[in-house]
Amino acid sequence: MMEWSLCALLGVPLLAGILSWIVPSARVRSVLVGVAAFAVVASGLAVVYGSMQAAEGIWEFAIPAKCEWIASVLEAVIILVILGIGIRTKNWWITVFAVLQVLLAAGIWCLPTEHHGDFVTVFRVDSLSRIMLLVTAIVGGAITVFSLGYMKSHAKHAPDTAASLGQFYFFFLAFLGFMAGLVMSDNLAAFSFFWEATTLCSYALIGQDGGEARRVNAARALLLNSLGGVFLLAGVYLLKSRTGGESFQLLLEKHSITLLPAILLCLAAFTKSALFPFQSWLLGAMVAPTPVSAMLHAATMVKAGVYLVMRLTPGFYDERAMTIVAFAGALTFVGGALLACTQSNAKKVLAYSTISNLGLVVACAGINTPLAYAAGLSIISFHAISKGLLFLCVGRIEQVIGSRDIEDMDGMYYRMPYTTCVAWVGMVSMLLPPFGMLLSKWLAIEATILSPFLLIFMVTGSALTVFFWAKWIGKMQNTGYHRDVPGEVIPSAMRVSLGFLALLVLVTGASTMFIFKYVFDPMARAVYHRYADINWCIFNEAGASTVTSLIIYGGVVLGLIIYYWFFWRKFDEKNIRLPYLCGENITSSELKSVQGARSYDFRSVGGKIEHSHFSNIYFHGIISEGKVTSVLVWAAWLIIVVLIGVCLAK
Amino acid sequence: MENMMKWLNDPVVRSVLALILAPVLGGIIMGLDRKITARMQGRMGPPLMQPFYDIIKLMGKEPFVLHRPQILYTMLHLVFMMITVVMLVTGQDLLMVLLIHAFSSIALVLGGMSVRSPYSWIGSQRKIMQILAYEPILILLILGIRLRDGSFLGSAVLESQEPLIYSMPLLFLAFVCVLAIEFGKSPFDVSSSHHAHQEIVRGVYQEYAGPFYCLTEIAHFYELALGFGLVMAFWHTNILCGFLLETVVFLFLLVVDNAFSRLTTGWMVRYMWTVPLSLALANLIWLWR
Repeated sequence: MMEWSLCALLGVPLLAGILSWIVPSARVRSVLVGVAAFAVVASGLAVVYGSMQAAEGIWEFAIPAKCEWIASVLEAVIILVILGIGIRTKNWWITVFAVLQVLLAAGIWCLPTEHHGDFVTVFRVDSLSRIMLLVTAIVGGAITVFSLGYMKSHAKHAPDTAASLGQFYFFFLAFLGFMAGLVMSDNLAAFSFFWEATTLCSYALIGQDGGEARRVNAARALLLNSLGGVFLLAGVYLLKSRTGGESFQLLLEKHSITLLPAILLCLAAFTKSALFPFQSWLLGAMVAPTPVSAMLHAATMVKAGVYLVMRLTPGFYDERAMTIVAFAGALTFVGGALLACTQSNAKKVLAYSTISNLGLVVACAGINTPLAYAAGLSIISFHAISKGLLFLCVGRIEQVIGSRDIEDMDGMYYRMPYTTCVAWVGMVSMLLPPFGMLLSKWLAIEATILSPFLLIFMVTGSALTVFFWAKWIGKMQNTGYHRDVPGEVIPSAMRVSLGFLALLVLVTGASTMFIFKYVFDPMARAVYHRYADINWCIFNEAGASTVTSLIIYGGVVLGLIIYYWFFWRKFDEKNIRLPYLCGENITSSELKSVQGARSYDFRSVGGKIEHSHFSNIYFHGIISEGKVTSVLVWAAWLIIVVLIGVCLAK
Repeated sequence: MENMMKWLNDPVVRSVLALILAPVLGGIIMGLDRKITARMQGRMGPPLMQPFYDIIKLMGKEPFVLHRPQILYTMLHLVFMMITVVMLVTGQDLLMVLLIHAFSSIALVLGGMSVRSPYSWIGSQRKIMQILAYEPILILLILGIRLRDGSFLGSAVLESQEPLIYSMPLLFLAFVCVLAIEFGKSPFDVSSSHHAHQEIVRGVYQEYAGPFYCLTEIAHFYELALGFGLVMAFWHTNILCGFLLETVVFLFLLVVDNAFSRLTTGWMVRYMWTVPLSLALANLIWLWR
C-alpha cells in the first residue's frame, strides 16, 4: 500500500505533467491538473499516515543495490541539461558550474561504495520528512488548484514570447513531485538528483513568459542554484570519499559528518534558500506568474534549503562553525526585514519577508538546541501556509487592479471583499497572537538566550517584522464606510483554494499550542535525546505555557463576544460620521453629486475640492535598497569566508 | 489573615482583582499627572478624579463611528491590554506578555489606519515608529531578567530576594525612556499628545468618539498601571523603596514632559536605537554568565 502511495506521489505529477503538455485541449488539461493536485494531496497524506503506522514512525523504501545507478544516471542527465542551457544561452558561468558539477558527479561515481547488504535505502520517511511532505503536498496542492483559475486569465494577457500552458504545467507539477521526492530521500545520490531537478524546474518556470527580464532572472536563478549544486556535490564527494556512506541516516547515526562537507552542504542550502549573499535570484523570481512565486516561496524550492540544514545540524556538532552559520541566518533575518520595510511593491515585501524568515530558520538550526530546533520546524510549517496564501492573494489582486503596489491597495475591502478578508487572515497570521508565526518567533528569541551576540539581530529583526506587516495591513484595510459591500466575482478554482488555505491558517493558528506540544516538542526530543549535555530546562519551560495560550484564547473570544453583543448588534447607520478634516469636509450631498468625490475630500481655498492623500513610511532618502543590499552582501560573503576559514583551520 | 493570603494566591482571584484595580490606579495616576502638570504650568488643574468623570461622561455620549472594523480594533486594543495584565499577575512567560502587549498597540495602530482620516493615519504611522523604537529595549529588558533569574517566568522575578535595580540599573534607565514613549510624554509624544491640539490634532486617537474613545482611555489606564507596576517590580523587596522609585520616575517624566517640546519621529528612533539601546546592551553584557 505504502509503495503505491509513494509511486503515486512521485509519478502522478510527472505523468499528469507530460500528458498536459501533450494534450491540446485546455479543458482536458484542467481536469488533468486538478486530478494531479488531488492525487498529490491524497498520496502525500497516505504516505504520512502510513509512515506513522510503521515501526518507530519511520518507514523506509529500499531498492536492490544493483539498481542504485539509476539515481546517479538521472542526476547526470539533469546536469547535462543544465550544461546544455549554459552553452545555448552563452552564459559561461552557468557552463563553468555545470562542468564542475559533471566532474564532481563523475568523481562521486568513481568512488567505491560500501554496501551493507543487498538493498539500498532510497527513501526514508521520518518525522521531519513528514512535516515537509505535509507542507509540500497540501500547500502545493492548493497552489496548483489556484493556478487553474489564475493561468486561464494570465494566458490571455501573456506576452507572445510566453511558453505554452502545457509546458508550464509540466514543470509546475513535476516541481511538486520532485520536492516530495527530495524531502523523503535518504540516499545522497537520490537527494542530489531531486535537488538538481528542482533547480531546473525553477529555471523553466521563472522564464515562463519569455522576454528579456524573465530570461535574465531565470538565468540568474539557474546560475546561483548551480553554484549551490557545485557546493552540494562537493560536499557529497567529500562525505563519500571519507566514509563510503551514501545515506543521511548512516552519516547521522555514525556521527561521521565532518566539518568541511557539512559546511559545503550548508552553503548549498544557503543558495537554495536565497540567504544573503545569494538572495538576488529569489527577488528576481517574482517576474514569474504568481502561482510560481507562491510555489517557490511556500511549498517547494526555498524550503528544500532549510530542510537540508535542519536535517544536518542535529547530527553534527561544532560550536564555532554552528555559531557562524547562525550568524549568516540572523544577518539575513535582519537584512530581509529591514529591506521589506523600505518596499512598497507587495511581491517584493513578500519576497524579503520570506528571505528573512528563512534566515531565522537557519539561525535556529545554527543555535542547535532542542528549543531552537522546534522553533525552526514551526517557522517552516506555519510560514509555508501563510506565505502561500499571501502570494496567491497578491496575484489575484494584481490581476484585478493591475498593480502590485501596496499604496494602490487602499479601499480593497470594497472592491474585492473576499480576497481582502483572506489576505487579512494571512497577514495577521504573520504577527498576531495566537497564530503560529508569533509563537515561533517567541521560541526563537528564547532559544537565542544561549548565544549572546545573535541576540541583537533577533531583537531588531523581530521589531522590524512587526513594522512592515502593520503598515501593509493598515493600507489594505483602509476604507470608507459602505452600507452594502458587493459580492466579489472570483473564479471558483481561486475561491476554493484561497478559502481552503485561509481555513488552514485559522485552524493551525487556533491549535498552535497543541501542534507544538504534540508534534514539534516530541520531534525535538527525539532528535536531541542522544546528547547528554543539553539543557532541557528552557525547553520544558517553554513547552509548559499552555496556560498562556488559554488566557489569550479566552480573552480574544470574550472580547469578540462583547464586541458582537454591544457594538456590532447595536450598530446604527445614523451614527456614521465623516473623518475629521478641520471641519472642511465636503457634504454628503456633494459626495453624491460631484463626480469622483470621496468621503475624505475637503474644500480648500475658494471652495475647490481637494483629495487628501496619505501614504506609508518607507524610509525614502534614509535607507536605500541598493546600498543596504551591497553592505549586507559584503557582510554575508565575509561570514562565508570565515566559515570556510574555520573549516580549513581545523 | 492566613486565609486571606491563600485566597490572594489563587490566580483567578488575582486576575479579577488586577483587572478591577489596575484601571482605578491608572486613573488616579492620570489625575495626579494632570494636577501636577497644571501646577507646573501655573494653573489650578482639574480635580484628582477628573479622569473618572471623563470616563463616565464619555460613556453616555452618542456612539459616533466611521465604520465597524474601527470599533473591533479598539476592542482588541483593550482586550489585549487586559490579557497582558492578567498574564503578568499570574506570572506567565514575560516575553509572551511583551509580544501580547505589542499587539495591543498594533491593534490601536490598525484601528487608526482603517479609517480614511489623514490625521489618524499620520498618528498611526508615528505610533508604529514608536513601537519600532521601544520594542527592542523591552525585549532586552526581559532577556536581562532571564539572565539574572534563569527563567522567563514572571513569577521567578518576584521569588528572587535581590531587587532587579541592583543588577540592572542601566536597563532601568532605558526602561524609563520606554515609559516616556508609551505614556506619550514629550519629547516622544509624536503619535498623539495629551496637551493642547498639535499639528496632527489627537493623532492615532483622532477618529474615536464617545464610548469608543472611552475604551481607548481605559486601555490607557491599564497601560499606566502596567508601566508603573513594572517600575515597582524593579524594587519589589521593599514596598517603600519601590514606591519611592516610582515617585521619582513619575516626577522625572513630568518635568521632562513640560521642559521639552516634541521632536521628530526620526530623531526618536535614532535616539532610542543608540543611547538607551546601548545602555541596555552594556547592562546585558555584565549580566552575562
